[in-house]
Amino acid sequence: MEDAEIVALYFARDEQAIAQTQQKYDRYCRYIAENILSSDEDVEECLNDAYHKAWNTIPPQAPTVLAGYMGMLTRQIAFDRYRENRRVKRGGGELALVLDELQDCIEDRSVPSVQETAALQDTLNRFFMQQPSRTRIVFLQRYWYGARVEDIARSLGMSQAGVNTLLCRTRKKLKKFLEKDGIRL
Amino acid sequence: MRAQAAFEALGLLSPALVLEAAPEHIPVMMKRRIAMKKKLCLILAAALLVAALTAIVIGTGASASPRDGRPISDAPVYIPMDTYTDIVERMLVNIGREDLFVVDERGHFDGSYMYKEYRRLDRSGEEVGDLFFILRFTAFYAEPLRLDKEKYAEQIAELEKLHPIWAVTEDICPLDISVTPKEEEFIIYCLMAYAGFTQQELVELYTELHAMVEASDVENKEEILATLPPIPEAYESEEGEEMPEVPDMPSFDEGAQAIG
Repeated sequence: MEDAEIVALYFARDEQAIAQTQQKYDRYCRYIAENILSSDEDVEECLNDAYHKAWNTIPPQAPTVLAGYMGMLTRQIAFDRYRENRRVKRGGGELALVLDELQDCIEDRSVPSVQETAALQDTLNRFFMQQPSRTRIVFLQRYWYGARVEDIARSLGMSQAGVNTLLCRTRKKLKKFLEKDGIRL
Repeated sequence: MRAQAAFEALGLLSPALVLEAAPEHIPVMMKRRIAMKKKLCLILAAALLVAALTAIVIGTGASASPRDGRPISDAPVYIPMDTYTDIVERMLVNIGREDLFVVDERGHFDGSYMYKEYRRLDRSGEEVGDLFFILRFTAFYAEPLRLDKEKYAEQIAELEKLHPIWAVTEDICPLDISVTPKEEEFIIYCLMAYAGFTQQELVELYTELHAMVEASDVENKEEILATLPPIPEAYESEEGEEMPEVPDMPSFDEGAQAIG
């Protein structure tokens, strides 16, 4: 079923919308959640929350790219759950490594204004659009999806050292780019 | 906290960029381990097969110029953008224009994103700090993307005046369903001149392309084969035939000045 048809089901308040979303994007959302959360139970709850949130937010939201929307919801919910878990017990996992690597990339953050968020969004999009496709994919595989370096290397036919080098360079470039744009979070 | 802020900030990225790196693409990217020529071969085979079939079905032949109202297929073939990006990036490196970057059309599916980029270029090239380089084959998607084709055509015409290399990519693009033998020759030339393919690589690429069609189960195989480009070795034997000239690249400043 096409995305537009699924979204139409949401608008019609037809519960088939969730079933169809699940059928089409469960693997994708599960991949995101599993990279962030270590417990199967947490992953399942995260996915249920994501579908529930989709149901509650469409409408008024009308995503044209449902995969992007579901991915964004899943990532945010998974990350919220990760932080909640960390409050109870500091854990490791792949995301802890991902966060360690990102440590120096961005400055400490207070609650940003709408304008600051929009500026950051624009800057990030501009930065990544200027990067070669492979750089974008490697960086986002690692820092958006939380994929393991060895998996990225294997999927792209690169060495792990190559992936790490590319990530390191891109983090530095991103930091400079943000500074140049005066982004302070 | 800083790291968490950074991780959260990445959540603001456009879905187009995020989906580009989505796990669904992993199987495609794994194919990158295959040599570039093989990857290209697959694409060329698929695209030319569609081209040949389309030409046969709609009976337009293969003589129409891409700029003279190319027919748009009712069933566009969605080929992974990464592949084209690879080709173009390789081409840009080879011509020493690493300052250029590729804006792919992945984010343009809502029919507005592309215009945003154009407007940015039209207003002031300096605003983005670099020269935009947009793959021409997006024109092929104009219809399915519900773009304003007339406006799009005007913008393409304007950009072509500024950036001759734009036209080069159009000819490189194997999606072009109206490739003539002469244009195909130009594609080969461009692949060599810009992307640094060796004659041997091209021979292997095109040999494999022919072999794939030979091995396929399609009907009218002979007709399709007749529409495929000859293996490049044939070009070597045609002495005295001049290849098209390589267009000069305008500098970014020149481009920006021309925009006004």
